[in-house]
Amino acid sequence: MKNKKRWLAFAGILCAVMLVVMMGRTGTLRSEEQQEPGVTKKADGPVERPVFISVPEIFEALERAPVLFKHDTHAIELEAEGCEVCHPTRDGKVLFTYPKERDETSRDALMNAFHDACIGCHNERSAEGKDAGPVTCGECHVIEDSYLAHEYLPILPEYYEPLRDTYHRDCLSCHQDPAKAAEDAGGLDWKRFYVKERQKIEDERPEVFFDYLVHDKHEKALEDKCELCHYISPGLQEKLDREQKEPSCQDWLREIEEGGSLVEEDQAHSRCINCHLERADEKKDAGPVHCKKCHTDIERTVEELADVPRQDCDQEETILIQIEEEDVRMKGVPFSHTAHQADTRGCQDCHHDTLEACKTCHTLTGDEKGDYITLAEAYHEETSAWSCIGCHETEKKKPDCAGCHHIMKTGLNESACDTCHTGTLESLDNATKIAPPAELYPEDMDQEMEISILENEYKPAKLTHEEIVKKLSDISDNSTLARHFHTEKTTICQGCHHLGPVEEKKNPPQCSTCHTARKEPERKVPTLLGAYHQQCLGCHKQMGGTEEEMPQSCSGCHEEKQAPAAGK
Amino acid sequence: MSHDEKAAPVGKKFFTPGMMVVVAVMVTGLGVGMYRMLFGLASTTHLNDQFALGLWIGVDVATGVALAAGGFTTGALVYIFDREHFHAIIRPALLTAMLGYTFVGVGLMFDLGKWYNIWHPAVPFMWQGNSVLFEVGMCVMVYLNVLYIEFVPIVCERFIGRVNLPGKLGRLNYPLDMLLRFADHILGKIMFIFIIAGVVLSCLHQSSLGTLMVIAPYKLHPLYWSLLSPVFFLASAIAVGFPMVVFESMIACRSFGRKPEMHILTPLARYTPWLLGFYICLKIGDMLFRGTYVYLFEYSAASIIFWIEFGLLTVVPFFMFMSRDIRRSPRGLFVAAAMYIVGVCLNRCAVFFIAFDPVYAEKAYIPAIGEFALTIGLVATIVFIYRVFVTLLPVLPAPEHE
Amino acid sequence: MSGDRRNFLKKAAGLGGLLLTGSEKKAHASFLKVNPDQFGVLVDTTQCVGCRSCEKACNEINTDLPRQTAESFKDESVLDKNRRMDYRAYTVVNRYPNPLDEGKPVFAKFQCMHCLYPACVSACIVGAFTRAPSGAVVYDPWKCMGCRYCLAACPFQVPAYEYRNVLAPQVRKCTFCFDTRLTKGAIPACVQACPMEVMTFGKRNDLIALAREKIKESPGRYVPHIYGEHEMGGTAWMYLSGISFEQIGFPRLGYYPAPAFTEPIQHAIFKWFLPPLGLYATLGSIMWFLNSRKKNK
Repeated sequence: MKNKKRWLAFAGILCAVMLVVMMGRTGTLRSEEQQEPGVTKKADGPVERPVFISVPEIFEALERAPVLFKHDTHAIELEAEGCEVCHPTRDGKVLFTYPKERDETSRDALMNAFHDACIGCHNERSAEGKDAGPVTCGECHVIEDSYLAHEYLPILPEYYEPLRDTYHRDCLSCHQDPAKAAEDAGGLDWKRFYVKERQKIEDERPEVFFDYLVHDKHEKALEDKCELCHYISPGLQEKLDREQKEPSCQDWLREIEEGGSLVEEDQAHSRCINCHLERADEKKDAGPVHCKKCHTDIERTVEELADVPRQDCDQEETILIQIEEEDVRMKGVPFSHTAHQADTRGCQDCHHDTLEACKTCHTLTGDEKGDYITLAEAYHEETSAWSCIGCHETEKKKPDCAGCHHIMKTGLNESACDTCHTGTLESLDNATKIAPPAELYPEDMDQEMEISILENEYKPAKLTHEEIVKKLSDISDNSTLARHFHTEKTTICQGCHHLGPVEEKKNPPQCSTCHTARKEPERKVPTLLGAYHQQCLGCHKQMGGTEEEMPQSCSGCHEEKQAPAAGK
Repeated sequence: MSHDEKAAPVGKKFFTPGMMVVVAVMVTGLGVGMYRMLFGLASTTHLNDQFALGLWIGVDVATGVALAAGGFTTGALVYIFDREHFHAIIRPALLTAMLGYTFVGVGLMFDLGKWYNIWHPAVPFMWQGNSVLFEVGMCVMVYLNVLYIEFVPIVCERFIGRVNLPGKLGRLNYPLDMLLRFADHILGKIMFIFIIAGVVLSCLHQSSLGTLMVIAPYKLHPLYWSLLSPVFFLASAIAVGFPMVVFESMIACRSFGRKPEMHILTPLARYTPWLLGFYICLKIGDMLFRGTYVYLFEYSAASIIFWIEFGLLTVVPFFMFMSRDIRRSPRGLFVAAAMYIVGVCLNRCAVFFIAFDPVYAEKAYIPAIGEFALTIGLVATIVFIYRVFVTLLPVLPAPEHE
Repeated sequence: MSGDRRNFLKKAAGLGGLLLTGSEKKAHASFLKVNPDQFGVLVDTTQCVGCRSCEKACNEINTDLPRQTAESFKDESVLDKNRRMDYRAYTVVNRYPNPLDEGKPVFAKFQCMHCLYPACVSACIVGAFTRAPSGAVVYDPWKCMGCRYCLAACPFQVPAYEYRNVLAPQVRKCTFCFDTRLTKGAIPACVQACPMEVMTFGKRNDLIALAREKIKESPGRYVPHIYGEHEMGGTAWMYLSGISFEQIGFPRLGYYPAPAFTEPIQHAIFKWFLPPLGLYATLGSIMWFLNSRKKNK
């Protein structure tokens, strides 16, 4: 009988083991996708994003998990009582700091201030029999997996060494200075490197993008009274008074109050929300006061803002961007400000949040204000969202343009400097339309072409030349950007007939001249098979047209021959 | 080599009810084995391209080799470290080891895709010295022969002067008898060479079984991948030698209606805390040094199995073996030994397929019924053959009173 | 006295062993020497359109694979699920969503990476895998026992096994068209068949230079990393991608070759066979010492 118990125990352990094995893999070596903590995304509508209360500058290392605070829930619940329930006021304006008696002299003082305010309020409300929040430690300082981002890598030096190589060689290839890179990386220490444990202590809510639509709403609501948001310094006001001038829009734009930039969080909150509260009190049209209404995910596209009137700041419609310094030899670039305003969502899209002219911060040799980015870089960096070239590159990636441009070299093209640097404003009028294709074709050209040079498994490929050229010409003619840069009559032809002389009314060189059928080891160009497919199929894929218009399947361009009945 | 108790064949009935069960399981297992031979691996196992080494490698090969460590550990204890007191358990341990290693080979035959090429590693033209598996294969092969050689004296003892082949073969009686005497005489003199060789070979292949998975650092969970893996396998194998002896000795005694030989087993168990403790310290030290203890509380198959096989089934037995009361109690000793044996088995399985996380695996590998059936069938076969041997040959000590 | 004789025999055996192993060169195995002129293939995943012509060409040229019809390669619905190489195919093309552009998924072709320091070559117990000077990692089915250690060892999870084959199952993986084309001066079938010229065959060092040039010329197009340049010590098949390599199904691996983990251990243990012999001698000495002490009692 004793045996039985033993065997039972055995069986029990075995069962437990089987259970474990059956449960399969529940966690992996790789990091899991981190859900945004506290956020439940709904299909439509603004999403509440809670705030992490951690005050890193005072609390530094936290002993307990940061408190995830749902501001909007509180605000909506306490709406009737107003913001003053939690927030201090001064001169009738609400200061959006918390708590009311915020004692920052020490960690404990601040902690007690928070506790007294939050828990005190909760206790009061539950004493009054109302719905109240939690009062115990663990209910607010919730430790949730989703607050911690873990990424584990084994740290045995022999294992880590090669991974360190990966990080070093790849990262340091851009971050040239290892010391600075380490600093940028937050002082990663190799012994802890294996565990990337990031406790979320900062909230990551979307920035409020003040696009043209929002500005327009404000303009209309505030009846064009710029002074309600913008600022004129006393010095400038004196000057204007002396000259008996009204401040121009440029003046409103340029002056930034010391510590008063609306871009800063505390300024934005205190000035914007207070204004909205006042107007709501006065029963006028007012903006939102809850977090999620301003910090939304909504990013209006350029198309959606097409009809919104742009700010009128007396800006010039066209500008010749010319550097005035002596030894600058490049001719100026004519720039249509109006045209570009139509293609952006807000002034910040080009002018950052400073709303300054580029050369104010980006000097010729680089300045701290401009993050040490030189003026040339600022205008020409092809991967930047703010530079001229960078934005044009983004445009070229759109399906309509990508068909030709995806294969072409990106960025600066030394032979094309003159296209922009003309030195005169008049050149802005030169936006050429593509000549009608019929004018450019040689006389004996067939419109229904067939490419049969590689005929093998497939029948010759049908090429509807006329349709293709017409489509591309139309696209080019409809785009201002394209019209300015497609300067030659035969530019569109060069989309396919590239790197060779393309003259009007003459047959361009054949593809097989450079793209041979066989791969020569030294040649850097694709073979003819590759050239045709990269060109044609590549374009169709990039432009994403329908199967009829731009076939992407094999038989769309060339029908398959019936396979001979081979013993396959 | 004189000893106090003489060994003798067991004079009990062979086909007890327990043995019937064993035979049934054995036949089932071997039946599954035949099925695998006839219809291929896909029909019997859940092995796939992601999980290529499964239950048969984890249990039949790796655990089989580990649990057969009783042979060389007792050999070292009695012959090298001259602890004559434990003489009586040498033979059973040797038999267990011999059968264990033989069935490692048999189990491997079922697992190999081309089992008929199993002789390939023996041919110098196909030696690939950089391979860890090569070392495992060669050392196991040589060690198996060493074990057979070590077993010969037992056969000699039984049959010298009693060779009696039936019928016409009776003419071979005399030559065979001479052969046996000759073998016994020679081996008596040079056995020590083989015993030491056995220990060395065992150390080599036990550790290289651990090195096997070191080649795939990105597929093994950090709790189980370590450059010290060979040392872990070796240390845990050495530590399981004596518990294995305890286990099979007690089962055998129980099966034959004898009292457990506590006068041997209890002092034997006194060595285990040292060996087990060494292994535990190594493992914990490695975890601290590499910092992999952070994975202990992650909810994953690897961490859970680690808690079970190391926490429950290695550390707890360590404390059990430390306790004098448990060492003296047959039940306690048995449970402690059994726990650690299961722990070793789980440890090997963990390294090969539980804590193994291949790059593109979509689901975990759960062995098929056929795999379990064959494994358990092979264990039953070992039990069966063990019974046959102890019935026919002088392996177990003669009963005290009959 | 028997003790002395025994002892002498032991010493003699030990010395003899040492002499034997002194001439043993096998203990000095080192990493495979890499031929600087070896070949490689650069795969530009930004060009791939997922037409599966490479899979078709591979199936045609490797006659030991189960035959598949030409039409079956036109079926794009197989791309809905990510596949791996198995006993039917040495190469597969998978489709991955492109986080930068929803409408333009990325395709990637998988096959044996033909590493410079292959784990399978080091792992194989019978030496069924070898690496040719041209860079191809070649499998010899005749030697293979079917132990499948190579499947466990490969960090890219490349080899596939014919579990369904009862009599003579083999390990299946891309051969770099070694027998069929490479040794005859031609380029691999998949490279030739690709209509978009996604793959470029050439000398590995030239390809690395080519890849660096491509990255430099089109900075926004590629992630500035050549996958396979250093991974696991370097592979012959290298990849360029527009999105991170993990997003197109490549494992994140370090730069240490896999054999570099196990071979030093093995070589240390068998360095002139000293450790085993040393252990043998130590145990022998203990045995002799304790025995003689017993005798003297």
